[in-house]
Amino acid sequence: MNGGTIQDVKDPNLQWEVTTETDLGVEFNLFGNKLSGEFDYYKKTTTDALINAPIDAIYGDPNGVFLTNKADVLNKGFEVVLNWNDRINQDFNYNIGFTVSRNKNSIDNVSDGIPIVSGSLNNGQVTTRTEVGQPIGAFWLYQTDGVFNTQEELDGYVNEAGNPIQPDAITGDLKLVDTNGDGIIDEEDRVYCGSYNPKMMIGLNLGFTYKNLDFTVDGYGNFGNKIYNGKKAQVWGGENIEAALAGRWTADNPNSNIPRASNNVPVASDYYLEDGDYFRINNITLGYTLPKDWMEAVKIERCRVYFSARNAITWMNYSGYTPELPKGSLDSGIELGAYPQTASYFVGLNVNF
Amino acid sequence: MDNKKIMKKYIVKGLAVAVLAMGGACSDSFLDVEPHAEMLPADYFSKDENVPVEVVNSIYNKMLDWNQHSFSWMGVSSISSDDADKGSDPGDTGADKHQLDDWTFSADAISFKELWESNYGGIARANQALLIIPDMTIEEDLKKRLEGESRFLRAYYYWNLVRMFGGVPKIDKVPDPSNEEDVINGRTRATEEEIYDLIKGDLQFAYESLPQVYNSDADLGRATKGAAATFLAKVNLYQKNFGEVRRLTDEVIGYGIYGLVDDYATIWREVGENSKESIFEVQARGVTPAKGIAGYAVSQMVRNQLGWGINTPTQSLLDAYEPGDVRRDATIIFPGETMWDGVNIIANPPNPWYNEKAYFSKTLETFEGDWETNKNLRIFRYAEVLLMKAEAENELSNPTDALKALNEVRLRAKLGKVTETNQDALRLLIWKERRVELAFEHDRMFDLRRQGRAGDVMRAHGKDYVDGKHDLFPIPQRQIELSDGLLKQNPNY
Repeated sequence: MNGGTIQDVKDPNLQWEVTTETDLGVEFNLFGNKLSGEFDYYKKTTTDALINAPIDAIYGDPNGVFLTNKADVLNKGFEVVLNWNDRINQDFNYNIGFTVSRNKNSIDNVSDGIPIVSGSLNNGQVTTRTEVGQPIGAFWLYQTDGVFNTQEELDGYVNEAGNPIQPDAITGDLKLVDTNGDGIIDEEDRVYCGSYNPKMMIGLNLGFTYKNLDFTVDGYGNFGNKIYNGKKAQVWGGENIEAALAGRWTADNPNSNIPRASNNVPVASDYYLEDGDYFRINNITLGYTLPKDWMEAVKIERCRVYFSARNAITWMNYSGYTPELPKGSLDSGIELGAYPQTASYFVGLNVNF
Repeated sequence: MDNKKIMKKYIVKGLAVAVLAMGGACSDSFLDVEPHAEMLPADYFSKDENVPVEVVNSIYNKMLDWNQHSFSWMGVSSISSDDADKGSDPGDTGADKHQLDDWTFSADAISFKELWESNYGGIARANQALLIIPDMTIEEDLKKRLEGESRFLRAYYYWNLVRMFGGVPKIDKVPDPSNEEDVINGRTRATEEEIYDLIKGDLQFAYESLPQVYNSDADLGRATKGAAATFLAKVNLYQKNFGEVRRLTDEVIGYGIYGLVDDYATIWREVGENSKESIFEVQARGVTPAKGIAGYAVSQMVRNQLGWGINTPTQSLLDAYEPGDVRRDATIIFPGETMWDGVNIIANPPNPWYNEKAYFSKTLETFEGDWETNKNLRIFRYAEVLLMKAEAENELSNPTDALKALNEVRLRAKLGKVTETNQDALRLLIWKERRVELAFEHDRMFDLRRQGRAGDVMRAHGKDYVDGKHDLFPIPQRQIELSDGLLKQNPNY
C-alpha cells in the first residue's frame, strides 16, 4: 500500500536570522611591498539564529529536529594575516604566509530558555548542551575520576548517609564524580567541558622558486577544540576496537585506568573527551620545469614534472582517526566511527605544446 | 475547520529560508517575497481518488518501521518477560536488550526512546489524516471509513504507549510547536484513565464506521469492525470490565466469519496470512518493491545460520506446554530440527531455542531478501477472542461458557478438555492457556502486569522486578530533558 503524509515539522513563525557585525581592521604594506598584512577585530552577533533544534517526539518529526529561530549567538575575536615576499636574486624567490585567528563563541540567549540537549551517540546517550553563556554545542558530560581499581575503593564510595554513590557499579567501572555533592549521580552532576569550536586557528604557507625548481607547502591547524571519541566508548559487534583496550582493567590487571570490558552502554563522560588540537600539512608540491633549450628541440613549449603530497602529515593528540568531524551546530566533533582522511600522493607532468 | 487555516499551515517557507542562507544582515521588507508555489493546499488530498486513501495508508505503514515493531519492541514486550531471553551471543547486547532481560535498564535505554518516538510518530500521522479528511471532497462513506481507520490506528499506538508508560501526553490533533498551549500540553502527562478514554472513544468510532469485510482484495488487511470490537474487548479486559468483554467477544463470535484454523503451525506461514483466524495483522509485502517489517524476522532467526538469534524462548516457556501440545513445536525451533520447508537447523547454534513464529521460508514462500520479509505480524486473532471470552465468563461466574470457549482453543492444540469450575483455579488455567497460545506475540509482559502478578512471576523467574517501579517502564530521559522537566518521570526511576 502506498502512503503519503506530512511529517516534517515546520515552524510557522520562521523568520530571518539577523547578523550584526562590527569589524575593525588595518591593512598594510611595508618594506617596499615585501611585507603585507592585515589585522582584524570582529564582533558578530547573530540574533534568532536558525538552528536545527531537537523537537519533542509528540510532533512526529522523523529525524526529531526542526529548523527554528532558536538562539542568539555571539562570535568575537581577531585575525592576523602576514605575508612576506622576497626576491633574493634573479634565480631565487620565496614567500612566507601566516594567519592566526582567535574566536570566542558563546550563546547570549536561547529562545524558550530551555537548554538544547543534543549530540546523540545513537545508543540513548547524549553529549552536548547549549545554554546561555556556553559555546554552541558545548560538551556536557559526567566527570570521571579513574576506575574503581579495588573492591575497597568501590565500597568506600558512599555518601553521608552511608549509601553507595554509584550503586550499580562494580570494580573496573569508571568512577563518576558527584560534582554537586548531593550523594547521588544524576544529570545534575554533568558539567560543561568545552566544545568542538576551536579557540585558535592557524594557517601557514611557504614557497620558493629557484631556477627551474618550484616548491610550495601549506598547512593549517585548530587549537582549543574538543572531540568526543564515541568509538572508544562503544562499538557494536564485529568491529575493531582500540588496541589500548588490551590493557583494560581486569581482576588480574587491577591498576589499569582503562575501564573493564562491559556490555552496558557507557554513560557520556569526560573519559571519552579528548583534545582536538591538530596541525595538518595540507599540500606539499615540488616541481621542476625542464630547460627550454631541450624542449625546443622536440617542439614543446613548456614541460614541468612535479610531485605533490596532499594531507600527508597530521600532528594531533587525538587518538581517533581524524580530528575534523563537522556536523550540525549542536552535534559536531563526535566520532562514531569516521573514516580516516586519506593521504594522496601524485606525480604529474604538465606539457604545453 | 476552514480551508484557509489549513492552507496557512502548509505553506512551505522554503524560499525565504534559502535566500537567508546566502545573505546575512538584511531583514528589510523588500526581501519578504511571497512564496511563488504554495504546496499542499487542502484539496491536494482529494485531487484523485487514491490520495485520500494514501494519507491513511501512511498510518499503517508506520507499523513496518524498525523502531516500531522490531528490535526495541521485542526487547520491551518480549525479552523482558519470562517467555524470552535476550538470545544471541553474550557480547551482542543490542544496546540495552540484556538490561531489559535483567530488569536493570534506566530511563536512557534506547528501546524506550525508539518506542516513544515511533508510537507518537504513528499518532502524528493519524492526527494529520484526521485534520485533512473532513475537508476532502470525497464520498461521505469513504470519509467515514478513513476516519474510522485513522482512529483505530491511533488507538493502537496509544495502547502501546499506555501499556508501557502509563499516562502520557494526550495529543489528539496536529500540535503547533509555536503555540504555547500546544507545547505545554505536549509535555504534560495525561492520566492513564484519560488515555484509556481516548483509546476507547477512538475504537468506538472505528467500530461504528468500519465495515465487517472489504470487498476488494486491494483493501486486504485494513481495520474492520471485528478488529475494532476485538481491540475494544482487550482494552476492557485490561480495565476488568468483564461485562463489556463478554458483550464484545460474543458479538465478534456471532459474526460467523471468524474461526480457528485447523493447524496451529500454519498461522505464521504465508498460507496463514489473513486467514479466517486473523482479525488484524500488520501487512508486509515480500515482492518488489518489498516492504516488510524491517528486520523483524531475520533478527530473531537461528544465529550462525539464518539470522541474529535475538529474543529466544526460555526453559520456563518450554515447561509451560502440557505433553502433547502441538503449539510447542510450532512455536519453538530446536537445534537439529528439520523445518516444514526442509531446511535443517544446525545442531549447535549459540542459543538453545529460537522463535518459530518469526520463521520464514526462502524456498516455499515469497522471498526477496532477509530485511523486508513477506512476514505479517499477527496482532489480533480469533483464538484470543475465545480466551478473552473464557476469562470474562469465569469472572462473571459462568464457568460453563468459560470452559466451552477455553476448550475450543485446547481442542485445536490437541489437548484434553479442562473441567475445572473453581473460579480462582480456572482463572489461572485461562492465564496459562493465554501464555502458551499467544507466546511470542508481544503479549506476555503486559498480560502479567494487568493480571497483577508480574512481580511474583518475574521474581520466581529470577529477575529483580521491583513492585511499584517496574509496573511501568521509564519515560525516555531525552524527552524529559526536552521538556525542561515538565514531563514527569515514572516513580522510582
